[in-house]
Amino acid sequence: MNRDFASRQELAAYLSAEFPLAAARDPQLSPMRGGAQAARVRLEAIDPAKYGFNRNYLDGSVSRLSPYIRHGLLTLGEAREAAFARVKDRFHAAKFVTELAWRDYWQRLYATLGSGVWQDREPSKTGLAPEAYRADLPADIAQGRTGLACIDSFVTELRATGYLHNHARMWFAAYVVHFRRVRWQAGALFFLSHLLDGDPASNNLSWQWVASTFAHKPYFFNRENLEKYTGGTHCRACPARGRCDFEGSYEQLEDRLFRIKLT
Amino acid sequence: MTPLLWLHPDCLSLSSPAWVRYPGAPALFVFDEAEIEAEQWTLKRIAFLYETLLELPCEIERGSVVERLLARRPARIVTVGSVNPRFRDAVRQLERAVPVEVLPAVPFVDYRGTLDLKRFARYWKRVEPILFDS
Repeated sequence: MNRDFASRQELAAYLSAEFPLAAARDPQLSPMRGGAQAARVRLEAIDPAKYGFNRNYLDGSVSRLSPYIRHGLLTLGEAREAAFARVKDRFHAAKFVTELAWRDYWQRLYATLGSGVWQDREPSKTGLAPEAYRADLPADIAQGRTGLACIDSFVTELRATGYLHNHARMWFAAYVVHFRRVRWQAGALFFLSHLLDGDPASNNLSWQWVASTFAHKPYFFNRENLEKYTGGTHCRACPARGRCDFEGSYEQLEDRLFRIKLT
Repeated sequence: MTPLLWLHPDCLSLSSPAWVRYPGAPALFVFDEAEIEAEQWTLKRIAFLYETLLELPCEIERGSVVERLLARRPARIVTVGSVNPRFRDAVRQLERAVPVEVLPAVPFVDYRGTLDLKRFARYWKRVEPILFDS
């Protein structure tokens, strides 16, 4: 295949012609560029100490290294050493290194499970039968037209960049599986389709953690939680403000979503 | 006898063990059309990988990984290990036709023994001391 391109637009046009099915699914290119040079720039910008206390906020100091680690441009060991080099005490890089370890953990599981990462690891803990979940992803979710500003924003960002903050991934997965009752596999495939760091192990097993087929209980959230970590950006402009699916206490949502008491 | 380096989506670095051991060897990356369709890749991922490959001294093809590699008629193939089942299947098929050397990827944790992977907490209890003390 060609190696000489005058511009990124020329590369995009060439790839669209070579991979028409992928282009038909979504022809956008991410602003995140591939390559070792881009990986080094990202690595030099990490702030593991700040990451330790603000990583759950959408504007927190997340590294966005995952696409580069996923494809072997950086090893987990290189990321760990870079993190240690930026802190006075290794303890200050603890959260960052823990997240690197999650990647290692998923890969080790992948080695034992293989394509089994597409199957439930354990029964769901929601009290709902498998038939309660639909198999396909509803079009309004895939197209970012649910009417929920947060969810639609996450889909738009995912489609445009191939990246989502981890907390947004968790909220989105909980929305798909628990609020819309869709099988986690449909959401996992949607993520694999768009994520630059798409990896069947990290991706599918994280979806299973949310769904509770690889956890002691399902992960879900309420509006208060989302509003806190997003600075209220989505809620302020949401057409469903004050009456969205996520309104209520955790106890109220638990009663609404599941068929067993979790606590 | 210079081997053919097989690049795949898990090992796209000049620092990968294959290039370290065989610098200057011809290298080939094949966009696996079956994988792209199975995982429904969009153009973003392909472009990200393509930009990465343009920085590497390799040739790029698309199609069946096994067929494209064997079409080069290599005396042997060298690559870096992956836990992806597609990779393992391809290695098994290639080995019927040509010697394949699979170099281990650089491990994150050098743990001697069996790790309990039932839950992350069990794994973490074992590896945390190694990661912070080494």
